[in-house]
Amino acid sequence: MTRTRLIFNSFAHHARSHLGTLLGAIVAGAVLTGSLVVGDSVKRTLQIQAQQRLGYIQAATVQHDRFFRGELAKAIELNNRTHFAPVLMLGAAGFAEDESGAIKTRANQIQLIGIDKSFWNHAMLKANLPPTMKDGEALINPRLAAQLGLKAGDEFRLRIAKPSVLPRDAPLSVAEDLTARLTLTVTQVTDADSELANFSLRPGAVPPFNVFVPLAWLQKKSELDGRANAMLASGPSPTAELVQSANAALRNNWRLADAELELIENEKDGVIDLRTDRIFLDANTLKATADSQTALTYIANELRIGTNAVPYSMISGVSDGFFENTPTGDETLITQWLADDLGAMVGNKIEVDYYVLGLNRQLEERSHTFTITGVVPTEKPGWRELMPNFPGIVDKDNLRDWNPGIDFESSRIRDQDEDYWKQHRGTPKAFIALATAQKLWANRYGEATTVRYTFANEKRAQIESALQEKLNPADIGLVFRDVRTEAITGQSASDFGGLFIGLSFFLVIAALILMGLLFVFGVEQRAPQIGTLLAIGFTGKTVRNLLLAEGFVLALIGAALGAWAGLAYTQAIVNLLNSEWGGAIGNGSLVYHAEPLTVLYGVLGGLFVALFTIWLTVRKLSRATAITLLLGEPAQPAETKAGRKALVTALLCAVGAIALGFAMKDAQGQMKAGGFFGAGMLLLISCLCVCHAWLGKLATGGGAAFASLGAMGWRGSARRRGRSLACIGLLACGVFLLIAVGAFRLDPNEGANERWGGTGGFALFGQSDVPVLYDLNTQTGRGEMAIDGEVDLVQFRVRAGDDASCLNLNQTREPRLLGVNPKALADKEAFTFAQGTGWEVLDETEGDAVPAIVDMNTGMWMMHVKVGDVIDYPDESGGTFKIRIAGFLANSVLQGDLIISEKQFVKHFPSASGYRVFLIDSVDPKATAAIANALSFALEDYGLELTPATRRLAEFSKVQNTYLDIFQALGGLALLLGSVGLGVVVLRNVLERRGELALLQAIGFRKSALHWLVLAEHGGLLILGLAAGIISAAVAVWPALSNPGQGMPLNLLAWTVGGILLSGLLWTWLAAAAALRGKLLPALRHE
Amino acid sequence: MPNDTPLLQLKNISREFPSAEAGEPLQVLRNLSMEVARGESIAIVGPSGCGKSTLLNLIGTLDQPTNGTIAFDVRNLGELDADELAILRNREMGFIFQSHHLLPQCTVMENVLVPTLAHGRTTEDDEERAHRLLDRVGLAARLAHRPGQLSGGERQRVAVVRALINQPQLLLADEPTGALDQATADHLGQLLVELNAEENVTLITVTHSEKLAAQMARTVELNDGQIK
Repeated sequence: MTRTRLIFNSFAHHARSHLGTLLGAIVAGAVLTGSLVVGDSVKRTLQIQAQQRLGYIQAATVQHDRFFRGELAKAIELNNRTHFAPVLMLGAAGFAEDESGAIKTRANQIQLIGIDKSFWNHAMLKANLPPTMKDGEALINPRLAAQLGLKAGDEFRLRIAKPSVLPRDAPLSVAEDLTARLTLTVTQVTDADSELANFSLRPGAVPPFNVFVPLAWLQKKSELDGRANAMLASGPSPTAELVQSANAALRNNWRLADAELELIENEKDGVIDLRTDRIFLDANTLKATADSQTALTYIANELRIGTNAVPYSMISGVSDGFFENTPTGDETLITQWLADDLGAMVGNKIEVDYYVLGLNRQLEERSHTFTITGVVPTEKPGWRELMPNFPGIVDKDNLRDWNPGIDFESSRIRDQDEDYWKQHRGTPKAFIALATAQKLWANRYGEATTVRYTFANEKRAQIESALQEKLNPADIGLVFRDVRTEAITGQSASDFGGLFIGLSFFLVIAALILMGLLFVFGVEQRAPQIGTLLAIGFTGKTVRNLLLAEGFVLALIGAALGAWAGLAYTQAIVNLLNSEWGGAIGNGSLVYHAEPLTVLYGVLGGLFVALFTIWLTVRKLSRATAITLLLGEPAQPAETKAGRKALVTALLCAVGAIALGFAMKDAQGQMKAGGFFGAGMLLLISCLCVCHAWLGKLATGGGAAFASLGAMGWRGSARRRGRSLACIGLLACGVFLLIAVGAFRLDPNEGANERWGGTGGFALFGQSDVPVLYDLNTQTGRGEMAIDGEVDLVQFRVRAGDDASCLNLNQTREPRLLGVNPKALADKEAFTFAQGTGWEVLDETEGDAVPAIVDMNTGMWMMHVKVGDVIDYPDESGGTFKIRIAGFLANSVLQGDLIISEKQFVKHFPSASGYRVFLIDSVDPKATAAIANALSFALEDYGLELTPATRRLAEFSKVQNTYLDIFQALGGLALLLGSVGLGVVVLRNVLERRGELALLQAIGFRKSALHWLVLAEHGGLLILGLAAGIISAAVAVWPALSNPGQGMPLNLLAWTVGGILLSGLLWTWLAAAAALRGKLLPALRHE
Repeated sequence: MPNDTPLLQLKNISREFPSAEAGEPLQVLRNLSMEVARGESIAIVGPSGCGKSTLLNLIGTLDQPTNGTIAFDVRNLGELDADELAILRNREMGFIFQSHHLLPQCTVMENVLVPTLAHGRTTEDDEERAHRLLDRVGLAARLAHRPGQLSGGERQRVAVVRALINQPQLLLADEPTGALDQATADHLGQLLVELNAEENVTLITVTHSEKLAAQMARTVELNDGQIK
């Protein structure tokens, strides 16, 4: 005989009574394993999505608003098995037309991708290469095909933002002809799994809309001959190694043209000029050429002395050494032609009028006065080349034909001006000091227009080589980054395994309580046997260990079966997430996947919690004395002492709850919600302690006669206090959680028209594919965009980033960045701040971190930051800058975006022109449609997509609400288990007391009266549980009710609580009916 | 240890239980003193509620006296902790209850050997002794049976053997024949007396049965918590 044998004998003998316990262990294990496997499934889904969007791609270089030579990809080939592909990616809006030419279907936010055959080296092709595309032909991905209703052979149209090497916001850039229309024919709808159909370098909630066209054709159509803005890399090396070697190769093989720089050799004039199509040479370039002649040439609207004026002239700021007596300060050298025309003499003051360009292409004319210190010849070799290639100017034969990016009045042009243009082109008419020119005309794009070297044979190559050495392509963002490692690990924004354990927490607890109850019932039945073991010399510890060992076997089987059932649970959850609960994952599609290790963790977790529960139950039992156990009754603690202890605890918790409530009265956001939730929990504990003490009082409160059968029932509920309290606790916790969670349900329509609401009081949310360069709140801006009528809107600059809204499952590192004028939102007092003081904080300049505001859900769940945190964000020059989270918005339409001030935005992203996100006001809801129509019509070519702000908010709210649905559904299941637990307790109580009930029947009570007795006893527990839960939950949700969009959904809660009450009563009634079935009187004999 | 030292010495034993109504405590045993010699067989008799079972529980260390001392083999039981008492119960005492309290999941042989597991492992000697004792009580053919397959008398005989398996000095029996018919009860009573002599074990039995009491060497009659 061994102890192991004893344990297994015992286990086998009590197998039937263990079934219920086993069931509880299985449910707990299943929920735990199932929840963890949901995490696996999300991870696997993200990996598949990453595979679909990246194929073999490991690294990529992506330039925002800059373009390099497509040939660079060929130049940096490392070996035969490492592939590089140039790609030109442009944003587009698309539509398909019906036979009559009317627009049938639309899609915005399309990725138009120019590719050559090297692109397919990165695709995991299962079959042959996709068909070669001719000009005007396109491959499209399944999502776009579905959206536009296209198939092979169909025609569709795209509207693209015409890229410009010169940023659209740059001074003197031309804001015309911003878009182009392309007509394309579908060659094939590509395969999502094998043909990189869902190619994207950014993780997203849903696959992108993709159109693949021949690279050369797209370059031609977008006037970017030979250029690309992204390069893909893949090969046999590990990604980190590939990134390193690709960047080294890039550094060795890049040319100035890849940084949009050009060395122009002019042997005739004896100069070599460094210029850029971006007009302005940036600081990095100037730093590398510090020892050379530098010039900044600009357009003067007018050069004037008294009433004599010359319109539209070039004026150059030149560095020391350009002339023998190079001007300094406010001195100027004018040309002979100008001196003659103005009748100017040395010593005269000359006024120069010029435009500067504001943030929204607002032109501001300024004036500066110079003193003439000399007159130089009208033109010398190399001077006319000082004028950069200003668009709209450089290619014009006549001055009157100029179309510069400033207000231009051709009527001011005189004949001599026209003659000058024909003879001397853009030769500057005046020269000033470079420092002065930079003070007047330097901008965020650069501080010079030309760097000049003296010509010598073969000097060009030397200069180029020296510049390539000094300049780093990474400074302009030309650098390979690892795009695969993080994506392919399937790291999600949230730990979905943990999340679903949280959501199922109450279900696990309910299963464990039920399991504990059933186990303890089984053990209580064996009380005399346990008493015998104690009597024959087993210590309490040994007996407990024997029971625990038996429980271990049970828990192990339960956990193993639970893990198996958990896989089915996961499949059910995944199916629901792909259908009913789709809102929680942005209506994406999850695949089921289970990792063996996760299942093992589930088994271990299930084993642990089941064993812990069993330990809790046997711990108490083994403390009972042998005598009591031999009599078949586990010992009850001394009533008075336990009751007093419970009352003291109740009082302390109640005082704690009140104190916490007061302390958190004026707190903000999470702190307040957390504080009140804590107060509610304390109150719940207090209520349960009161119930405990009250049951104790009932148990010892003999003496007073029963006033009714119901009162007798009440007294009965105190007989097994532990069981009664478990029922009350289970129900109270369930009600508490369901009510507390229900109150966090968001109503997107609440406060929809109010500034404090999640819409900020805005009627429409707009996004355009093509940036709008003007302030649409001004008459000029609306005029430029041909918008009829008035609009009142707040517009945001956009730097593309990861989708950081809660619709995206992927972990996001770089959310989309928006730049806004904080005053525009502050004046309107738009949105509610969950944390933080207001929009003005964006203008703060303390420290080196840029203040930012973000929606609380995005901050907490997607970015995992809190207010005060500082993060690094990549800037346009290839480096990073620091962003400090300065505030959280409560539940807003701006979810997914990081918002900084416009001033900071343009400082860090000078090339990101115009505005692409709009919050549009509508004073009168009836006028909303008219405003939407006007904007849609005027900005059709810009791919403007307008969404009612409430709908956008509803989409975001749907995520939170769906999670609440899941929680409530699982909580409902748990309550079902809870009420089953109540039923089991009733059944057990009644079965134990069949003799007593038989006696009551013997002395004349009818069976219906006995039924009522049982119902009264246990109905009381039900009501106590509900009351405790409701009271404490009301305190816990108090602050949540003041948040925008949140309020107590009384109907839902009434239904929930009513449902629990009815379910509890039903189980009680069923259990009582089952226990009282048949003849009771024979039970008397057993007494 | 000299054989003339009493195995058990009870001095001024009292046992009170708190009243349910917070009044005067209920005094079950009052100032009771007695000695039990080694190898003696004693019957404790008296009316219901006189404190017979309480006295047996105190002697068996399942309960502690409110006042007074109990010495077992000259050891003061009040000075032993719970584990020491458990070891004492296991090695020096054997219990027989009115209800046999056999483990339904174990066979006859296993039930008998259960006490050997309390503080060690079952040895071959234990198994040999179990075989011998079961043979002695006429259950040699029932070794692999479970309690549910035995008659009331057989179960009680298994309980007797279980009580003797660790060769205790003291055998405590609480109404051992209470649940048996007369013939079986007589047979069990006779067996207890024989084993008392054969195993040289001191026997204290609480009984309402005058016949069983008469088979013991000494009868102690209790009335209202005191020896009459």
